[in-house]
Amino acid sequence: MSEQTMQHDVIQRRLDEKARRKDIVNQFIPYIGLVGIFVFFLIVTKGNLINEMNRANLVNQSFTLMMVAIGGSFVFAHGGSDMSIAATCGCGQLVAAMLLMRLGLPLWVCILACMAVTVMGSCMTASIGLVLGVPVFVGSMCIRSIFSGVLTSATTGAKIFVSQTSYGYMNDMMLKLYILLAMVMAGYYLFEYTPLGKMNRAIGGNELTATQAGIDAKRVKLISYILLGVCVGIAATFQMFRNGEVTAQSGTGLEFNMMLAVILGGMPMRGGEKCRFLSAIIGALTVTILENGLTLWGLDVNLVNGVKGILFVVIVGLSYDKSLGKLVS
Amino acid sequence: MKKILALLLVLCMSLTACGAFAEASPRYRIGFVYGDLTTKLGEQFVNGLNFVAEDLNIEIVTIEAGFGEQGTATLESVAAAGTVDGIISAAGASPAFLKAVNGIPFVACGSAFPSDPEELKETASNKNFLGGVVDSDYNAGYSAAKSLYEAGCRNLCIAGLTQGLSAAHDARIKGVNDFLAEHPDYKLLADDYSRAQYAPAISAFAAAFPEMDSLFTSSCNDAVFTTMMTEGLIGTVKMGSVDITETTGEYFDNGTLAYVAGGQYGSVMVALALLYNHLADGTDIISNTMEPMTRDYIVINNAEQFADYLYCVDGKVPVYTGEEIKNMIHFFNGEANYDTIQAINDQYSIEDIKTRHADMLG
Repeated sequence: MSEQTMQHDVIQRRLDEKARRKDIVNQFIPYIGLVGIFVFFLIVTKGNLINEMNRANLVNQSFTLMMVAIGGSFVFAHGGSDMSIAATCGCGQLVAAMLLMRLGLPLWVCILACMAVTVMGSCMTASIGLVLGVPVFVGSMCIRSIFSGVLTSATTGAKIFVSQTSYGYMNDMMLKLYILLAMVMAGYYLFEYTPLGKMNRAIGGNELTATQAGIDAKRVKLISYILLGVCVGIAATFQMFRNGEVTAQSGTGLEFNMMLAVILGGMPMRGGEKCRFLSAIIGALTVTILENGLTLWGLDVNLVNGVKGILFVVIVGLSYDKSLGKLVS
Repeated sequence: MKKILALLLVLCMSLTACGAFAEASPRYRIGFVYGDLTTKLGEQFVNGLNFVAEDLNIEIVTIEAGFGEQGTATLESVAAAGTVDGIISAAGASPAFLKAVNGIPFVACGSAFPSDPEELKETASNKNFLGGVVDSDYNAGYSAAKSLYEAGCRNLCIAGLTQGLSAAHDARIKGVNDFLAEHPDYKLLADDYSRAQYAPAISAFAAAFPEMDSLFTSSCNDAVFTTMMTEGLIGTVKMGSVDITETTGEYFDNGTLAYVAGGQYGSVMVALALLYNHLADGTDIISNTMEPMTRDYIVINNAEQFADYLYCVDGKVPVYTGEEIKNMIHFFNGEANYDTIQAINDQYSIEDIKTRHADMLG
């Protein structure tokens, strides 16, 4: 063996070891972060973080984000993204609220209509990418403009009020908890134990290889976006009842929070085989405890957003795979 | 004998001291919720409340609530932290907000008061909702149009907040439109309601309507004046609006402004009196919480009135002192009730403040 080959092997082994260590650290950082944030806020809020009232708050506040993170994990696993979910969430609420409060249709019809709108939004986003070949990020920005325009126009003149008295059970914490648990279990099973999750990760790892291996990438991507649309629809329905109104601001900030949750949970931005379903859940919990804890601690809401932004940059900077194109990919 | 007398004296003094403590006003932490505390109005709200805080033995906790779910979540967290005994909200009042604050007495103020009849009904049915104090926004819009008309203007453009977002802004616009309907010779050239993006709207008006001689904006900020300057509208277009900014005085001086309504921070101070009444001895001043107390704005039509405004409203003493707020509270003044407070509201003007604060303003 030549000296050059030996040197090459040494470098490769060193890089392999470094990558392995980084993998282990990256795997545990989200869990450590969650526990760390929890303990920190438990101390600084003098236990208020887990008082009876705030436990219910944590369930209510995490519901929307966890729901969209469940759907988002499939999209992120194949390297996709969707910047339109806030606008489609708002439009879903708009349609449901109009059917419920103005036409007096049964609740189940309104929920289905809400989900139909959000699924349509997700399908449109996916289609722009899959059919026209436009990057999905650009496509989702276009869909976001369309849906937010519709939402703003429709709420011009008056916001739509949604009665909390007539539909009080839609704000029941236990109902939300059961739905959330069911969705987490279903999502976990789909992601980790069915071909859908595996194919998404394969596409995220290397789309060309996945396609050559027989995976219908377009179909898998479309199904993932539909799943995201369903999750956004469920989240939109409960958010509508929680806020008791639909305005031009309904759904605002959801896309950023979803991205933050997924990334904070340790999911690679490019997707791929390192994606884990629990990353989304851990991330959503972390973001919720962070927001809730900072407010409990007395930080004003604008600074909370600032802290989230800084955290996002730091986490992306730390977790982004910079070794691509080098010896270790 | 002397010892017994001394003992009795000590006993009497102790009982008197206990009585004095029993009579002392309780200490409360009052949460004040607003969308943006960094604005001139936000600053006035907080300064007004803090000015009377010592006299009332209260602490003001400012809360910047975001929109939608973020706003609800912020209030939930504040309630869970147990840091406030009562809330005054100038950023929204809805069944969702009342549910979020979970039993904390709540007073709505200004544009926060619900405008949707169903929402108002549901909000008012919550026993923790103590009612609200609103500013007469319709009158402000109507008077602005009237002032511009009397200044000789006949071609108007309107720039406003997206309709439906704020009942206060919508009422101002309605006031203007009603005046226009009554005066067919005052023509509406164009209106724009793009989320209070006043600057691009004004630029578009300037380009499309050279005949424009008047402008109404549903609220005001310095960007409005800057745009009027850059578009060359100073001297040709007169303006009416609501809210005082840092440069309002300059634009009264150069004749651009014909009408500005301000001084609405007094409403928050009256809202504090309503809340304190409930906290101190359970007195609910407003029996029908679906009907808010209404107060007029301080109206300014020229530079001289603006100087008065700076002196009486935006100076070192706010529009109400601690003693004046105490007079609105049953715990301190047994005669305080809805009628006495509404009478104070009805008198609200520059002249009223000058009279009340003559000794303090010098």
